Amino acid sequence: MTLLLTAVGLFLSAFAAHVALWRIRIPRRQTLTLVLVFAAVPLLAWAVARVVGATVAPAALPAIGLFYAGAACCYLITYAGVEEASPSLLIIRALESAADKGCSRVELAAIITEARFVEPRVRALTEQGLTIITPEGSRLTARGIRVARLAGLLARCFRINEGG
Amino acid sequence: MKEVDQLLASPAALALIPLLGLAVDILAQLAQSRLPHPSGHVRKQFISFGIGGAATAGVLLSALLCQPLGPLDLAGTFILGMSTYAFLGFCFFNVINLNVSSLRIRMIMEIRRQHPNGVPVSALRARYGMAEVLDSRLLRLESGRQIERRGDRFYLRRGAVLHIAHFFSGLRALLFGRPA
Repeated sequence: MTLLLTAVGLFLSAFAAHVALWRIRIPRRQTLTLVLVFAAVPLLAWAVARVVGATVAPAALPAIGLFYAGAACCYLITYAGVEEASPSLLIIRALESAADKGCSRVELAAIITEARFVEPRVRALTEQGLTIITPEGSRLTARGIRVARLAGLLARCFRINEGG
Repeated sequence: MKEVDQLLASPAALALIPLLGLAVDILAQLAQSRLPHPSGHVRKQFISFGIGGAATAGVLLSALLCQPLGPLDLAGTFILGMSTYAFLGFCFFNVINLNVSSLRIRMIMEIRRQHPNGVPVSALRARYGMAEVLDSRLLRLESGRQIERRGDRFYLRRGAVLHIAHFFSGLRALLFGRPA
């Protein structure tokens, strides 16, 4: 049980540090800061454990480490939904607010707008260094080409068709 | 067989069992993709996640039961291994789902098709018009029984997506002090 409690405690400590930091000031580069928080907390925990004389068997570290890395990756994926709203979730929230009145397609179209979804994503591609804006329009950078190749490879391997 | 049991019983090898489960999950999905009539993406992912989970549970239990562990330690280590598999499986699920529905990935693929020419933002807007996105999402939510259509109006059904929406509102409230 010690293994499980150590692993869960480590993740909860990182999550608490993340909440505390965000309550003080929301970072400009949120995802990068979150990665740094999740990387720093185990190092800090290791230093504290050494100071107070607490020990974890070295053989247990891979299991704890993999649990922590997996949980941190899951949270990073989930956090993308906090940064950028999903059209499906906005539709659901609008219908929940409307309750028994419901919403027409026109009313929902007023919520799912280009300004809310397309433009921030075009901007984000440039900010993340995946595209550059030229006089002809958006072009992929070397990093963008690598991401596109990887996405294409996954689509071919798993026979994925694009959907909306 | 005894050597395999001894190998699996080492703590470092226990950490590898969720990775083995993930490999089974990936292979199961690859195999399903090659069936003559593959099922839908989400169904395929749930099936392969289940197969990987069953493999993880089986190997983990057989490794743990040959160790001198008390019931609490046995339960704790089993939960740790299964949770690790679930996290890894969730990550894989999302990597595949990004390819299915992420607007950003679709834009990247569109720009790549035109490479080395640039794609004006107006062309991206026209290609990924919100009318198309709205219709496909409404269709998906309706077929997933999350919403229902009566006449020309849409109504909410109490489904999993509503709980996900509440989860995100709660998380936003916790982090930013507001649910928006």
